[in-house]
Amino acid sequence: MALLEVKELCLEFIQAEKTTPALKGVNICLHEGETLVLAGESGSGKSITALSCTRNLPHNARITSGSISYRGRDVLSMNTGELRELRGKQIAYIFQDPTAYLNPLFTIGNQICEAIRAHEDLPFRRAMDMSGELLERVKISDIKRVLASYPHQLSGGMNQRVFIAMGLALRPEVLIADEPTTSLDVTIEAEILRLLSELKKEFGFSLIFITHNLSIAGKIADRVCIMHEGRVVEEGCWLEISVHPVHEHTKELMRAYEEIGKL
Amino acid sequence: MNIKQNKMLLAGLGIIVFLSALALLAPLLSPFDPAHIEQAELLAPPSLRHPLGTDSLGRDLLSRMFYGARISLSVGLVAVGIATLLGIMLGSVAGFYGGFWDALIMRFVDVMLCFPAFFLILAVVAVFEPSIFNIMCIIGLTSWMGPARLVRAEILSLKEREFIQAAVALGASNARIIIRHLIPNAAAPLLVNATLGVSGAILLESGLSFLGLGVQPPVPSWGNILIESKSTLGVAWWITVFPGCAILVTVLAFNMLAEGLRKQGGTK
Repeated sequence: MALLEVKELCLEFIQAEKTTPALKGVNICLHEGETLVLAGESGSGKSITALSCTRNLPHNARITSGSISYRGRDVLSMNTGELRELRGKQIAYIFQDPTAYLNPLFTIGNQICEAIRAHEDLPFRRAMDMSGELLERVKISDIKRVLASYPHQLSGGMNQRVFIAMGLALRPEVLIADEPTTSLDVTIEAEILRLLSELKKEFGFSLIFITHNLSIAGKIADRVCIMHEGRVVEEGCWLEISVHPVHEHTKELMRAYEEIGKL
Repeated sequence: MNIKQNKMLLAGLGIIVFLSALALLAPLLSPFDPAHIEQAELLAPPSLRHPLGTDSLGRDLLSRMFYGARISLSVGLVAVGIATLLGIMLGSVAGFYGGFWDALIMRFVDVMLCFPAFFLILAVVAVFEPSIFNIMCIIGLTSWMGPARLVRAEILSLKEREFIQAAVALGASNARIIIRHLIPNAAAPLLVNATLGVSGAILLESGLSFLGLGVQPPVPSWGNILIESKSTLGVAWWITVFPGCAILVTVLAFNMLAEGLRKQGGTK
């Protein structure tokens, strides 16, 4: 059975009486233990699809039809309390620009404690110890210093590790990584990708990885979904898609990818 | 900005600490009991025995000023505390939930702002007795609108920031997001506003006391020392000048502190 399933999801943005459709019937299915890559150009609906999974949507977005189910439970009909249980505990996110997604007033230690204590009623000291352990798991050395630092004092790569630690704090079953390496430089990118696949084995979560970079898709994906203008236009394993792209847009993306390879 | 270079902040803070020390140590510093009447020394000008002179009942002005500082400063701080707390609660609910609650609270703010606050306070004080506690509450209850608007505006912009989205994605409850994530991030402009508010509240209390509706004699406050001086202004300038200067310096110090904090925090 699919862990997370999005069926025929339609979503629109409402702006001053005008509605703009953003998703026009998206179908995605994530199986247990799998790495699914959502690829596509900007504005194709990758991120908004991912945010829909826990209904963490901007105020002007409205889901008009379709269904989302997590372990057979209907996400769209959940109440606030159930959604809160889903967020962080079952499905966690990692975002593009880690420094902006960390609260500037909290030290890293407090930050991770917040994530833990949002769900678990633990004493502060205990949560802090857990935070230290988590930092160790995401391969941060010098844990004492990092725990006491503020986000602006650390590099982007460091912050992304912290964010991954935060996402994994409550051992979610699904991790959704929304372009987690786009704002980082290339050497760090490789490190973060390696870390994610190691952690995936260790923690046993399923991963949805959003990217516009097909070279990443090739390295980590079990399955790839190509999105274009609010639809999944092609789906399959990487080998299939890279050798025999069917949809016009996939071919375009592949050509762009190969051309960079030739440079 | 280095805090040592921030002269405005240091000067303001220094004066406030000095005044607070005088107020706290009033019983030790005062040469006389503030209610002690010396019939031989009515309206005595400043001298070694009475450094700031005496009032029309022969009470030592310096002692009364020390005790008055307690009233003025505590009324200022407590009133602003009440106003800021109320403002934070109402403003954050309005800003975070928006829609109906926002409309309701902000229209209520508009209504409150329509009343000329001073006359509202006069009316309320006329009904209830003008004790120090009542004065603090009434000033607080009529000046929370500024902080409320400020908090609401801050939260409206903060709640669109990425780290709030991240907190939502981690499953934090609304209360947690407001209390732990939003309000601390709105603290800098609030602090500046509160500091300015203290000087406003001190002035208001003095104004009320001057009209006889503030702190009631024989308890001395800078405002009611001033009103007693009115009838003897022609012969005893010191009773008017010293409390007037005290109010001036205190208000100035709080305004300087606010300005210093604004510069320090980079808040506009």
